[in-house]
Amino acid sequence: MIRAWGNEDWRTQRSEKSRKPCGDDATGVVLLTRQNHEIFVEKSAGVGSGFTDEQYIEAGAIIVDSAEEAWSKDLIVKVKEPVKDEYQYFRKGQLLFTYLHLAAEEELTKALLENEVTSIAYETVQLPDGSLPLLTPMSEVAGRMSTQMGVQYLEKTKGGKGILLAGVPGVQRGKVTIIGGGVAGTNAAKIALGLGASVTILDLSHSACGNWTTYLVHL
Amino acid sequence: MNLLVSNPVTIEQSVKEADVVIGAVLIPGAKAPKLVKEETIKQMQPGSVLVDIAIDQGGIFETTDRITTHDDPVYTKHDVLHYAVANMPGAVPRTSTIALTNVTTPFVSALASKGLIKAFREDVTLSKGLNTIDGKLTYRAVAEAMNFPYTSMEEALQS
Repeated sequence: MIRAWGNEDWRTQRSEKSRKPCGDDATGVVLLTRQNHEIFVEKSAGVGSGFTDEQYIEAGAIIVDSAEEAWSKDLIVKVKEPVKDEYQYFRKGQLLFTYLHLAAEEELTKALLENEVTSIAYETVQLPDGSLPLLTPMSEVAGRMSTQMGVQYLEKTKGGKGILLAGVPGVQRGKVTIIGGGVAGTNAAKIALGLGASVTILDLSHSACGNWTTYLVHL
Repeated sequence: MNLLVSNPVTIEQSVKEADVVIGAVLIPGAKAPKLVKEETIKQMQPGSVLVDIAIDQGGIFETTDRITTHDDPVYTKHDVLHYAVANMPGAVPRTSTIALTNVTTPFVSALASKGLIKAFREDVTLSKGLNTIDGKLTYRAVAEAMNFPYTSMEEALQS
């Protein structure tokens, strides 16, 4: 498994359960501590994402030294699914809120069931219209980044054909084809259009194309 | 910009002439369909680039045979570059962390302030996310994928 972006691991404790991730300058921690929740952040949890322990302390969190201590709290908030080393901390009544992707993780599923952990998976939180609000931001990031990667690998030194996607006056623009007009595809197209590339989007439904037109007007 | 209805013909035509092709077909929980055939990719110009966002679900390019990492993100097949990193947001962890936190914090706040039962009662969106409780598996797609017994959330919460 590829490691996630900086592993923000917070555990919150109140009389009930809670725990959470953080925003710019640990905004998430600030918001929660203002509601009188106690937030515990595992030492160095945010370093990979550029959040220092000092920032969390400033935001009102308490830094804990060990994973064991962090997992002892009521509500555990993570990014990626727990790794095997963490299964030992599972216990009844614990509330775990993170990406889980259990369909592909039989061992993890068994560990959660055997230890009677209460788990809520980010990827299965679902709005009444069927959309997945906790997956959307990651699709947005991946979509926007995909065009950037295309730009980069078209460069000759990277092995590409040596084309500037935007072209210049007198030279044809580069062509970007995007298959899928959902959140990721929409975001890829937005960046490609911003660069001045020639963009084609393919989607299964006519209605998606209609949505597109509306969307682009508002770009 | 062209908006085309996706079918094997439009895919073949627009992939052949593209400098960059982005695979953005995400079907949660299911394997991505192989929409772009190897024959088509062979006809692309050398040095063209494929980026597959759906790679952790198998990807939509027939020539994709492995997942890559940020350390070594690209491989070449039929002279076409394949970018096949599974966890793309991991390359921009600060943006990704803040983006994720923006959407998770209200739910964390609800769980911490109200407790599970009240938070679920007041927000169906959150309650849909329950996967396991008291040793019971409450998410149907996971239960079916693994052939485990399924218990509805309502039933699991009652006991």
